[in-house]
Amino acid sequence: MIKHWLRFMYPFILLLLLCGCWNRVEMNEIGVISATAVDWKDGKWIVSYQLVIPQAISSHSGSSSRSEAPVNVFSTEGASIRQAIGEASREMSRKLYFAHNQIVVVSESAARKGISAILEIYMRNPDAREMVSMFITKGSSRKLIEQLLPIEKIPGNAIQRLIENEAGNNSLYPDMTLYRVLLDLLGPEQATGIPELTIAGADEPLNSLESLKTTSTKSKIRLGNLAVIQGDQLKSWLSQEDAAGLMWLTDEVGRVTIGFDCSKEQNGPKNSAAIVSKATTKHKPELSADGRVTMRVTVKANGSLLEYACPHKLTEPEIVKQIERRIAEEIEAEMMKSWHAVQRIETDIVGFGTVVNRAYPKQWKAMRTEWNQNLTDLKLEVKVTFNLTRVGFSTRNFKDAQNSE
Amino acid sequence: MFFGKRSKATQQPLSAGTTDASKSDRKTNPFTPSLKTNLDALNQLLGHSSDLSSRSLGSPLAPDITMSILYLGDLVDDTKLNEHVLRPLLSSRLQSDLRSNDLVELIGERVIEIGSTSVSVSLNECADRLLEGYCLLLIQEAACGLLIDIREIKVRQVSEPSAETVVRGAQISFNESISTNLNLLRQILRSPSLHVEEMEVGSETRTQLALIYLDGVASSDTVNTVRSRLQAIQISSVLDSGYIEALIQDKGYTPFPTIKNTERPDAVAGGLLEGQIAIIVDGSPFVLVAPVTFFQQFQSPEDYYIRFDIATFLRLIRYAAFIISMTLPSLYIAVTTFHQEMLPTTLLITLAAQREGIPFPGLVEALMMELTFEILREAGVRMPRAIGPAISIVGALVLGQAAVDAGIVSAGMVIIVSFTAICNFVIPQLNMAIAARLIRFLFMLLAGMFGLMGIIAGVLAVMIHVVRLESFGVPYMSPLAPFSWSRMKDTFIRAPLQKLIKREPHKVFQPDNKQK
Repeated sequence: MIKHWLRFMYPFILLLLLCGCWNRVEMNEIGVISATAVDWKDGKWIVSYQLVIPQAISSHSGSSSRSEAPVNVFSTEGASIRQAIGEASREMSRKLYFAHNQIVVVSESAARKGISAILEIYMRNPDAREMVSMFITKGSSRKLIEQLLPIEKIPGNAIQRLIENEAGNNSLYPDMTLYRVLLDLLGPEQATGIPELTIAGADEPLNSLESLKTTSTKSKIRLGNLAVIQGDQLKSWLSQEDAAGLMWLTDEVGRVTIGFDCSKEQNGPKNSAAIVSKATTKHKPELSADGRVTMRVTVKANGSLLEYACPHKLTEPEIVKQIERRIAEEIEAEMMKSWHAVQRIETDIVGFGTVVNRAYPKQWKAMRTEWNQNLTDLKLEVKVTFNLTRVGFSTRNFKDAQNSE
Repeated sequence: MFFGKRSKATQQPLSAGTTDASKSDRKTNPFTPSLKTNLDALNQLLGHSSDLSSRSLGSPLAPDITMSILYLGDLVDDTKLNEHVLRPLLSSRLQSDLRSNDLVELIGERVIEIGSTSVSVSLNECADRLLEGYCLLLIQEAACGLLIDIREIKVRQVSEPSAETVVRGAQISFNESISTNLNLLRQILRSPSLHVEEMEVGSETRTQLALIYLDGVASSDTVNTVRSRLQAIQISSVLDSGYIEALIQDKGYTPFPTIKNTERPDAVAGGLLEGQIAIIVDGSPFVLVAPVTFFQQFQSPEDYYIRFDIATFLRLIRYAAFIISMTLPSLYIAVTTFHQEMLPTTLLITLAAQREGIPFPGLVEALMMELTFEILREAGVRMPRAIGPAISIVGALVLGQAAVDAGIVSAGMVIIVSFTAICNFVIPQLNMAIAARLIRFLFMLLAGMFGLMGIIAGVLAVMIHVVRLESFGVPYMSPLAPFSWSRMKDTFIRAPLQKLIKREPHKVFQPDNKQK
């Protein structure tokens, strides 16, 4: 009988050995890190951590609201990143817990040195997640994670929500999670763009609860330019204007507001706006006999009118057609502008290499080595169709309605 | 009905004589023609009990013959004794010159105004009947006695069900008397195919029990199994149907009940109509129903009285509550002490803030709170009704609020424990709820030691255990394992009644449903 039971229990005993990452640790023995910043200085990695202080955030019954900062930032340094993290145990009472790390901010100096060290630890270790959003910053990265954000309690969390909100509702930059950075850098082009995180406003950090007690803050966190990474190093920067069309070229657009000129003569300011609610981009590469690649990019988008500054009646189909044409032209212009910028920096951050690789796997091997240098030879043909699905509640501009009576 | 059956049983020894092997040794104690000897012998048999009343009387029926009436004063109905036994005897206008045994028979047939009378020649039988509340008439020179059924059975009024309440449906429950219970059941099922087999268990208590089934609906194999298991019972006393449940259930230890008990006549009738077998035990308001599957214990009779959509919803809630009451504390322990990465960041921060300053590890904290609750619950059942509110206040305020304020336990743990406890009350069968309570502690220990992996191992072990269980030949997890589409209509969901009545009831509990 005992033997029978033992045999019955074997699978369960073996099951208990299976678990890879179990280790009992109480919640009040871990220090939850919500953001990390990586710097390279004097041949050493400097890693800064944003440590969450739970009591300061969760208003616990009994204890009154404490005037304690919600996070604590500190740095350690070492020859390798994990070594620097290991150093932290000399100054921390708790085990650092990276599973809830939301963002990693890399300084320009570290990005120029190469981000492969960071990617390596994220690929190797189970405690760090690939869903962490990555940012590059000019200057010290520690300053970024010291910054408090109004409304939000955990700054690291808030910055991730900021980029998610931006990518979903007004697509300028995609949310570059570590996973996507890895995919891009391991892909055929070995290039990617990572948004820059910057502190705008006065050089006065928002790092105390006192500084949040006013209605307007002296400085704030905002997204800046786009850092272009080639291989594993920072190669150059693209301005927001230059980067605006990249999302269209890479089929990343979620929702985005487009300004356009509605006048018939097309000479006025871009004082009307439409929102794109759905957009798809299709790539079709064509390899000609002389080895030149023509990339045909077709964009289909639809959206609704948000703001209209012209006196035309929107009940007339021609007017709607004209608006659609204007918006399509705007989108096309943005795409071409970004494309020229990509050609200028000779880095294929739009992933055309992958597209060509898929369509012409044999020829790609020959093209691959010189691909980024030969981007100028690539001919881009863009075709945008925009479909205005709604014009909103009114069919006339307000001023026009006022004048007609 | 019950009395009719009963008198048949009393006649049995007369007709069957001494062929009844089991009692033959006690039957070798016959009457003698001497009244005094007989009285002494009976007094001897009943241990000179002080509540044995005897009275001699002379009847105008046969003025020269001494008669004696014996009864246990606490067990007989005085009115019946006076009005229907003594008065006819004392004021009989019948004259007879019959003597001895013939006179006894004559009195039984023509004088006594009671339905059930019988002549007995065995002193032992007479002693047994006296203990049941019969009175015994002895006559000078007769070597037999006349047993007259004037029992008075103390019965609690039939009342509302206390353990299984429903909003809609009959508000009546069984009581402690087997005859009342059979009466209630017959009132619902007036079918001639409702078979009742009575038997007696317990050498000291001689408890009556009735095996009930619907002939043609219940599988005869199952009926035979139940009957033979009942007959095989060797025990001196049976004080509740729980004894019978423990003695006839399938072999092998399991925390899961394989016999259902209910105090609702409609639930028993429903079970009988589905081919189950009911066992009523005298002295217990809880009637046993078998065979029963895991899923049937989550069904309430009310499921069939209310609309099918809400019945389905409630059923799913009960299953969910069962799973929660078994696993929630262990999941909480596992996630908060092993797998913090599984929680959303804000939830982790909230929970971590609550845990700041708590001196115990999560497992200890959970065990402490669970045990506290179990103690409170047991106190609630045992304590006198009058101090109930006091315990509630102590339980809710002192142990809940104060423990959190004092930083002994975290607020999250209090929520988890109380929600688990409430979920446990949702399960209609108390026995099933008890199984969940016990397994919860096992899971908590596993979670405290091995995290989610431990819980998975525990869940698998429980699953393997339940699919191996059988209740009187019916697989415990049917109709899920072995699977049956047609019976799914009344397992997780309760299909509309039109769909259900197409089901052939007697197919449900055939043991040959078993997968080979």
